[in-house]
Amino acid sequence: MEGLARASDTDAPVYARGVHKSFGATAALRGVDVTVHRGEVVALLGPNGAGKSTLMRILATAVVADAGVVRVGGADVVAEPRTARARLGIVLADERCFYWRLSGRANLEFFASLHGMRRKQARPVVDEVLEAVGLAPAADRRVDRYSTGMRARLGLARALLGEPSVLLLDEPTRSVDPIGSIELRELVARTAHERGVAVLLASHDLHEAAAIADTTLVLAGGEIARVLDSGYDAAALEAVLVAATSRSGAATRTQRSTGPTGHSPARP
Amino acid sequence: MTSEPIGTAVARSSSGDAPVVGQLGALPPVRPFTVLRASLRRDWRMARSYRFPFVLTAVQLLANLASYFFLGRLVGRGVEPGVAAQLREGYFSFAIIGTTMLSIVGTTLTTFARRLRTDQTTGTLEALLVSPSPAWLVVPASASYELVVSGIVSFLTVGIAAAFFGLRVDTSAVGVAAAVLAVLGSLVLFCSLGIALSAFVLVFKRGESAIALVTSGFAFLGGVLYPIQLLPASLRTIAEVLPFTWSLQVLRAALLDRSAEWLRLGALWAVAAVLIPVAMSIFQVALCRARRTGTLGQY
Repeated sequence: MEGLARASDTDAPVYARGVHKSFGATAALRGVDVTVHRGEVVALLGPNGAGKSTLMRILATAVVADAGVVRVGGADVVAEPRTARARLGIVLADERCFYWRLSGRANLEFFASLHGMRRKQARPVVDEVLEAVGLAPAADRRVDRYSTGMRARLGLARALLGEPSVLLLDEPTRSVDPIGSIELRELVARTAHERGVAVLLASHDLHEAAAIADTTLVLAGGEIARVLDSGYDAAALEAVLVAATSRSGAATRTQRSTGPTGHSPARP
Repeated sequence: MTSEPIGTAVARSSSGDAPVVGQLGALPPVRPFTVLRASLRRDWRMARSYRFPFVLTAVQLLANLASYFFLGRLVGRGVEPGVAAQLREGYFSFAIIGTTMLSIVGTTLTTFARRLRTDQTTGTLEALLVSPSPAWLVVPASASYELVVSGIVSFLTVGIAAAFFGLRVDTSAVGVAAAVLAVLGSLVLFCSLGIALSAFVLVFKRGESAIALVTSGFAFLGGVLYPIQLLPASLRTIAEVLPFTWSLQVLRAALLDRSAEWLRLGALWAVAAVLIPVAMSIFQVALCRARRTGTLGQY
């Protein structure tokens, strides 16, 4: 977040500077800077194709950036990917990323083993996260019999298994009904503020961003177009988003006609 | 939902010797047997949710045995002397050992790639590979269930063939030890090929054709249904340097000829010891490439 840099930024649980990523001729990210401090919720808004999921995947070590520095929980995601993974919990946008023929509990027990937990150790942890996300009554039901909202909550439960210092949430409330969304976002906000977890939330839901984000980043055309504090409501966010997106679209069209012009991120 | 923040609950319950990974400096331990057991339990639970395939496997096993039993009555008479020595215990015994080994090797070749592909298409691959457990553990562990099942089915096949179809196998300690070492050595060796093929799938997404080609090549050249002495000289030369042929020769010698080919067994394990790290390196390179190109979860 250029312009908002603090002395403690380099120690922040999420620290990314100058992140570039291209897929073939398409530039997905162009010099993106992101900082998320302990206990802070940062929302990442942007149209489809803006680079939100790419950024999330880079932070989660699933994709390697072409250039830039990325640290999660203090660990460089390229040099120490395992350490970074141990310190983060991620909710993927894809709700299929569970074993649907297993129960929610069986899924979480399996993923707990990947955090180095033996079955006996995993059981109470799994019970706790299920209870916390409100899935305890459905713990032994197969995931293919869960509603979309329940699967979203199971995703959050999985992300919390290893007691992360960073939560990466990629559209966690997509397809979830309004009441479920509110419950989920309250849970995320509480976890961030009371436990000091750094939360980066990619979303298309402007109400969600307005409700829980301490800072909102508007990503357009692979660049951070705007950095906003928590004073914006959904309507104001929409206006900013539309303006940033149309400006980015114009810039992209100009760039296509004149060729690459460097990586200076557009700033408000 | 509870009003308690989630992290507090986890921190409390994970006291004791559970890993606390959110704190800087702490890393969860790599526990291969925990991951292996959890993967086996997961796949057993999923397999149990589909009951019918168990029945089909049993029927297929019996049908195969019966087919080779009756084929054995037809084949083997009037063959040339050089080949007759290979069929001393009858064609049925020869073919059952050959097809059982091919089945095990076929599973080791296909299971890693199939599992990876399933995880790609169901969306679980990214979730697995962004976990703190390393890929060298997660991917082989995911394939472990099919390998165990293949071993059990092969053991049952030989057992039923011995009990009901007249297969005579050497049950002396030396024979059994040589057979077990041959099967384990083959598993390790062909797992390395399977892992290398799964690297192919990770990069190119579709690898079924390459895997089918390798399996068919082994069936054709390795002496599964006929002794390799029947092959033309040029093909026989290729067959003789194939580790799959060695596996079969060691297993048949141990179970049917009451002799142990220790030298060939040693060669099998030596090749396996060389290929496993090579295969893991190939897989690691493929994984890095998928992460660089952003195609880890694509299919």
